[in-house]
Amino acid sequence: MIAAVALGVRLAWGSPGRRVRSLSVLAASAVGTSVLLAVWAIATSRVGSTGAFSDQEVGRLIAGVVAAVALPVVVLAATVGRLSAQLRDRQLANLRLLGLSAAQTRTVAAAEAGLVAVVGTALGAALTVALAWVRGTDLVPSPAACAAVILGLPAVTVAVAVLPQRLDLRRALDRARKSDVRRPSPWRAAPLGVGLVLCLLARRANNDFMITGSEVATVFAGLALVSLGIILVVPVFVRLLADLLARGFSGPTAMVAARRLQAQPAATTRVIAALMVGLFLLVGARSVVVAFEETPQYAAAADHIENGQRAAVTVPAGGLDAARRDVLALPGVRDTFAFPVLTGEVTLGAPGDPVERVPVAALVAGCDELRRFAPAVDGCVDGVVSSLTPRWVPRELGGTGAPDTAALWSGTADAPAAGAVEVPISEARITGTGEGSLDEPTWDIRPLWADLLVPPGTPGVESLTTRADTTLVVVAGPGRDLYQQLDALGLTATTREDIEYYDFVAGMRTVIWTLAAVVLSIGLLTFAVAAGDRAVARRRELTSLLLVGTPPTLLRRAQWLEAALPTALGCVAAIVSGLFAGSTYLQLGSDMGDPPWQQSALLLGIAVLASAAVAGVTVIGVGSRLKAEHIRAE
Amino acid sequence: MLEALGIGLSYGATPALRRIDLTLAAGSRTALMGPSGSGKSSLLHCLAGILVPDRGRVMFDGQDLTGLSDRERSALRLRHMGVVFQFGDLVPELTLIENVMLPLQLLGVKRAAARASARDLLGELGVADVADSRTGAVSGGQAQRAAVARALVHEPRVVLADEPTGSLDTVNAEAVLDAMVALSTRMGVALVVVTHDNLVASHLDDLVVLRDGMLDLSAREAVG
Repeated sequence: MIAAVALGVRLAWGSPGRRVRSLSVLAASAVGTSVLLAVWAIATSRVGSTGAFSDQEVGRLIAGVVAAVALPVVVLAATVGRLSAQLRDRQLANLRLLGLSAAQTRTVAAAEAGLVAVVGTALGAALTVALAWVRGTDLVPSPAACAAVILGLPAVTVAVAVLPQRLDLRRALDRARKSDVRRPSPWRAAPLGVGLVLCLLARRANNDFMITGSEVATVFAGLALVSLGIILVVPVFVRLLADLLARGFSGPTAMVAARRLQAQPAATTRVIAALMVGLFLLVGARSVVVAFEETPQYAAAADHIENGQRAAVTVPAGGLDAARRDVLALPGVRDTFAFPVLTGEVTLGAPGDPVERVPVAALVAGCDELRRFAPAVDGCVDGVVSSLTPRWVPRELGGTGAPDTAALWSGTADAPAAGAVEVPISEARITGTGEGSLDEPTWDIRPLWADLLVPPGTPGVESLTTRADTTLVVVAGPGRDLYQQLDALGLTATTREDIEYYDFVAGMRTVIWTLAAVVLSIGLLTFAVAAGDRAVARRRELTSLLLVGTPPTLLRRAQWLEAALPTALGCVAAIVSGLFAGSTYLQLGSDMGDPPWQQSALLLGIAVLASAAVAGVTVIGVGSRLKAEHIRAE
Repeated sequence: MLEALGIGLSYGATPALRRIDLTLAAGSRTALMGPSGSGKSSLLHCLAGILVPDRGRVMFDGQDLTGLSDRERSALRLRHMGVVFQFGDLVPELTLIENVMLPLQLLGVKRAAARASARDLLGELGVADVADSRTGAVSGGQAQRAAVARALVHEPRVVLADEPTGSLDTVNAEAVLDAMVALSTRMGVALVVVTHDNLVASHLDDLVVLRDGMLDLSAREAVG
């Protein structure tokens, strides 16, 4: 066993090619470890410390984030670990024929990959921790995270190196003769099929508002199987595509592309699997985020992050100028908007029915003023009293019992301090991008809250306005400290949006962007590594095709077809599966939002175009001049 | 010492060997000849315990190889057999001497002793001067001689060679073959060589000819 380990270590550094591969494994392990630990630390710091969720919920969230990064990192480790796989497998198969047992062969492979993976992982962890300390940030990964990554990543690398070596002697002989091209088992498609069926069953069963435990279990079992299946099914998918290509097209380009796809499925499937997993996760995760974005906590916090802070304070008559001056002096305050506020009541009830008096609040402003404050509002009609909520509009009430007028007065008392003014309520209703319930105004005018918008020129209103309180809306830049600053001025906000989740949402956004960048970077790196490895592995094959007189143009076309077709179709399959999984998840709740159809369609278009473009890049170097050393090797 | 008793082997529906009976005595030198696809390599792989025949038995010193596990056959091959392939199939990351040391080290021989044995043998084969070179830096003939040394270094009972000179020019082929025969004779090792080449066969004592997976006894008699 010691001799086998020594041989493995010797092989890891035995030749320039092996050294490049070992250094790649080392670098991939270090980068993967560093990325995993950094994301883990960011997620723990930004999401875990907000206090917005229970420890269990935060734990699940962080686990999800780490899993989302771990998957592409593992794919990267697997891709790098299987560099020059055909050549190395053949060498190990030859050792097997000499008399090494299967266990000894696996030991050689494990020692070769494991040592550099351990060194790389340790380096990555040390670098991450050192950088966090040097920069004095709180993003130091926990010992548990370090232990999990340091043990887990090399284990994956070793497993990837060892598992293909579980070969019996007959397969070893096939490999040594270079004739080991086996069809992937169709059973690989089973998890995806079962997962899709479970998701379909859950969607059909979930027609009511009640969600049962078994429905939730079915959905999550289905989603888990679809996630696993999307990885397992790739070799079957590529092989099926190659078979269809071989049978469906008779031209030499399709024939060469199909046969090459059939002969070297492993390298192709690794690249496509990495892409598919990334896209599936991206689309699926986007759907989950949609559900979260629909919650008021998220919306309020996101608005404070994206558009800045808004607070409304009540200023008594005569104090507006001073209050405005004080507020504008606050750091970060961008603008103020003043709206005189009247109180009053409307009388509801059809003729003959009991009368109901309902208190109302009215803003005094023209349509121009309102649009300056909230550009997205619609439906404001100059010169008439408009409804900000649907409950006074006659057609919304079915035409029965709708009030024709509202009695308005200044001050907040139930009864008018000085003579009420009757104003006619029109059919006009002000709407916006976000509609609330029956008694809520549009989201666009937040933090204002009123039932009616009364033009300043309405008869009798001007005299009320001079005595009325004013609602001063303060607009400041992104942050969460406006309420405290106003409190310090003695101006108490009349409504406070729920920004308890501000830190959590801000953290989530950091994590999501970090995640997207990391997944994309690792995906591209994996693609580059696999493409480079394939190019080297293909050199002899291309030489032999050129030697028999195959035109370089045909080789280039075949290469493009071979790369573009499975990659583009794989991307489509992954995005559709991710969207299906995401929409299944969103169907769990009645008010969790719609799947991101448009974004997914856009992503699909980009992915297909990018596949075609990347396939074009892989054509570079194909069909170039014959080189003496390649001819000799062939 | 090594016997095939009525062995048969098929690759799917295609028969490769049909009821082969063959006995190889200790120290014998046998050439296995026949046209392409006649089953020569398959027979060699069955004798080496790499392939297990579908029918019949392979006996090594009275022990039935077909009844052994994969692990036991591998251990037996490592200890008692040497294998040479057409292209040598040395490990390219190792030097020639490291390749030759490999079986000894896997059998537990100390590094220094293994190195000494390997160097001696490479010297006998005339490639001591390139012992510390990698396979890519030496000629095909030198690499093939190292492969012969790797097959003999642990003093096996039998060496099984599959077209060992097939990739070499006549001069190199002659040199490799002479060295292999001389060393195996000196060590008392049985030698089985699969070949297409009558010149190679002429260096060996016995000739077995296969045709369509069966022994061609008339050819054997004719040469004999």
